[in-house]
Amino acid sequence: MSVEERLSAIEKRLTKIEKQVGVRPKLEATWLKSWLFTTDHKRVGILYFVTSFYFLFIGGILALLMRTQLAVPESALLTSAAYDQAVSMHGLIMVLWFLSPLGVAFANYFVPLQIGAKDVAFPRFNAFSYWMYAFGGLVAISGFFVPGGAAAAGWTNYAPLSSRLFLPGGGESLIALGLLMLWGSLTMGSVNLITTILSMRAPGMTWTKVPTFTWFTLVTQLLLLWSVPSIFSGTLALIVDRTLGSLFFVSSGGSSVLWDNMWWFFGHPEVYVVILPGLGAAAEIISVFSGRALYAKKAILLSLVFGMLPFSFAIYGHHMFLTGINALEREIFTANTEINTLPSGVIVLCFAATMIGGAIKFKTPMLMALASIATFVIGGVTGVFDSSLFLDVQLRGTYQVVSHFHYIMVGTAEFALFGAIYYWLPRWTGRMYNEKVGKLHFILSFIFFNILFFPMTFLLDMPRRIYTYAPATGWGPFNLIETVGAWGFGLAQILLLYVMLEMGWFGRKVGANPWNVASPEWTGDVESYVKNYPAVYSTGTHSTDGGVPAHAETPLNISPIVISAGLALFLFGLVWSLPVMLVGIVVGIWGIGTWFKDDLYGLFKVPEEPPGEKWPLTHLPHVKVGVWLTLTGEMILFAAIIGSYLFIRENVPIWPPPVAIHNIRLATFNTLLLLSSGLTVFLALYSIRNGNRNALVGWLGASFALGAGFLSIKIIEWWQLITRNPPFTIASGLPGSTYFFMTGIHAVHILVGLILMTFLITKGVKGGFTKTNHDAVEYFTLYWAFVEMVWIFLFPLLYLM
Amino acid sequence: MRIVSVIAVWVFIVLATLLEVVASYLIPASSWALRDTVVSVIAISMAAAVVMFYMELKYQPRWESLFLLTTLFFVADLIFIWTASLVH
Repeated sequence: MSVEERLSAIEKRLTKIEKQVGVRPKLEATWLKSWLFTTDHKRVGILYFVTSFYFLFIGGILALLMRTQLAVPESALLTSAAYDQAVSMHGLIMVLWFLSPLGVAFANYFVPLQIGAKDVAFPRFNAFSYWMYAFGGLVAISGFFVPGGAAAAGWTNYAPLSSRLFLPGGGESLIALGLLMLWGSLTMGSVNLITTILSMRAPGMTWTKVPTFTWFTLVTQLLLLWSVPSIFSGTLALIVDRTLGSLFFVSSGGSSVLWDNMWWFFGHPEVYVVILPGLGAAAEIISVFSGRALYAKKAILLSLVFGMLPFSFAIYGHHMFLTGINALEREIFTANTEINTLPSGVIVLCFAATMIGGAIKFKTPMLMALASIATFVIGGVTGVFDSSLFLDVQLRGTYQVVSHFHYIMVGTAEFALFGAIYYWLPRWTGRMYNEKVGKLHFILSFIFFNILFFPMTFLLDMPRRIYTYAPATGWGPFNLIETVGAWGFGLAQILLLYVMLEMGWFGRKVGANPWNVASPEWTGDVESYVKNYPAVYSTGTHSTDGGVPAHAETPLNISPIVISAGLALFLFGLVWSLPVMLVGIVVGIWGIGTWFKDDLYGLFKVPEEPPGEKWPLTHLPHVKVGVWLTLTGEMILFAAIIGSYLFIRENVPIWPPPVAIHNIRLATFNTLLLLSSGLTVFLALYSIRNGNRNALVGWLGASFALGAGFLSIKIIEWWQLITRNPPFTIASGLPGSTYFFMTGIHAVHILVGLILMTFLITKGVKGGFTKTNHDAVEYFTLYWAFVEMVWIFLFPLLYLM
Repeated sequence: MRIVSVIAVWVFIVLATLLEVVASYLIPASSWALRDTVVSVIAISMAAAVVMFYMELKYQPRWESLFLLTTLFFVADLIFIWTASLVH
């Protein structure tokens, strides 16, 4: 029985029951399925929340192990290898699998509610994003259970330490593969949330009325969209180095400086990714508990959009002062870093000004927000010292730096996000937390946090990555105090767990708006939120409370979890087990097939979004906005790949002329094939716009043939190069590494295009496209033109220059 | 958009590709700066044609270019910083 026949049979049975009993039965999923297959933004938000705390637990245990090891001189609790793994995995887990996702959890849950959208723009991709994050984390931490142990090259995976030469174990490969899944998750998540905010705001929700937290989320996600592709390409290159023997990071031409560029182009914006969601929540909390509107909100937003956002990409080199980078660049990075304190200062001053003259209520969320601002100032001030080239040379790699970035990453981000938990969980659960225990949690956390990190400020001569030290250094007393602080800070978090559990089970039921807040997520019936009904929004000028018909939860879908699980098995198997890898391939293909089948038969449908505020993208459907955003991420990806190539070309004195290696005539012919496929894809779009379905299928078929021809010739080229004498391979030198890496990634894009074309042709043959309904063809045209455009740059770079 | 424009763009990028190849052969390797400049200018003009016509930015509201232009800023930032990193 076909899917359509099955659906028709189900529909008939439902109609029959409805006629008999007068009520149409709902198809309820089991509790487990309702979570595993959910695509609903609130449930996905809760999944992010719970999972991020799971990773906090692991990262926290590792931190306590490290601190206990360092408590006294010459401790033998951990070996040097175990300590390296603990410090590396602690950093990676805390930054990438706890702090960032906790902000995403709140964004998922509250952004659609704050702007009056029924869900995020792409619910299925949202669930996919979550599962890629969760499974990516499992792949990463599985390194602890394989021979050689987990990753041990620091949270930055600095090259060449991360190469196979120094870390031959599987842990380093697994962290790279887990990171690859995470980068995919972050990119999908950013496209989703940005599209939601740009295109799905309720009528009346103009930019000036968009709540502060949503504004901060928008900037956070833009940072991710533009920064992640750099490290995505870096991680790919690292994996290729480790598996296929390329030479990106283990030769003088590529070198550690290339990795530094790739990492920190992402790594520094990531600092803002970690702190901005918390600061956005703190802005709302300070306003609410001061009883005043946020002071100079426009100044804050301008600082954010025109200060922090662009500058975070122009200051990252301050992490590379000691790598031997160009002297002028170092001075520019110093100046830019110091200039970038201005937007931070504006934000802090505006928060302070909000409180002046206000009726401040020192509830737990407010105390947490204030702690966040205080630690932001301390961490910011110590950071200004580190931005100075001269001081940085002295302080780099010492515990002073550890103190600085923990005041930012833990103090600012974590206290603010804890404040967000206390602030929003009553809305989440419909119940109030225990204020006394909440305040105790705050007091203990704040005291022990400072006992832990403040003494580090004075350890100006203690290297940050040593696993033990001699008594004569005099570092012992400081480290002992810090370890007491670490245990106190860690144990204090049990109170947070207690507060959340007690609130969920025994908390006093509160009304819809216990804090008496005007922000849209607090309007409407509290039960509707608890039971996961759509947002009811009020924007001040335009209240649609009650005007939006309740809709069922966004439908369940099995594909996101299946594809992610398949990919995780594939990647784990790639390192350790061929059978596991094969199972992963089968599971992944099944998941992708299910996804396409759902699209082909229209089985996954989300409610249409009513027209709302979309300025300045008034005429763009939200799917097209998503496609454009994805392409912008792709632009940075290829910019990073081409940037790496230029970097290497500049640093390798002798580069063989292309004509001595490549068959230029064949490559030129192949280029013309690809350029011609761009024309035929456009003709396919042109045909369906005129209602000619046959021509659509014909032109798509021609495009497929041209694309497949390009790929086939590319494979022939590779074969000729590998089998020539002497062989030109990915491992034969940097010219080979760069050539195969760049053409390989482009070929993967061609392959994805061919798969998409197969889907379009199938749908076209079935009559799925009409003159007025052919958006998918239009979006594919954009993608294919982009792939063509990339080759327009790769061809001369690799074959002519 | 008229179909003639799209075909004209295809003819242009095909001819431009051939011109790139010819230029790379004709300009001696010793004048690599001139060769790379010529080839780069041709490649950029081809990419611009693809963006304007195949991606139809020429015919869309100007705000649609926002995605491209803002990203180009970060692309330029990345390429500049990376290539200048080790120049002394």
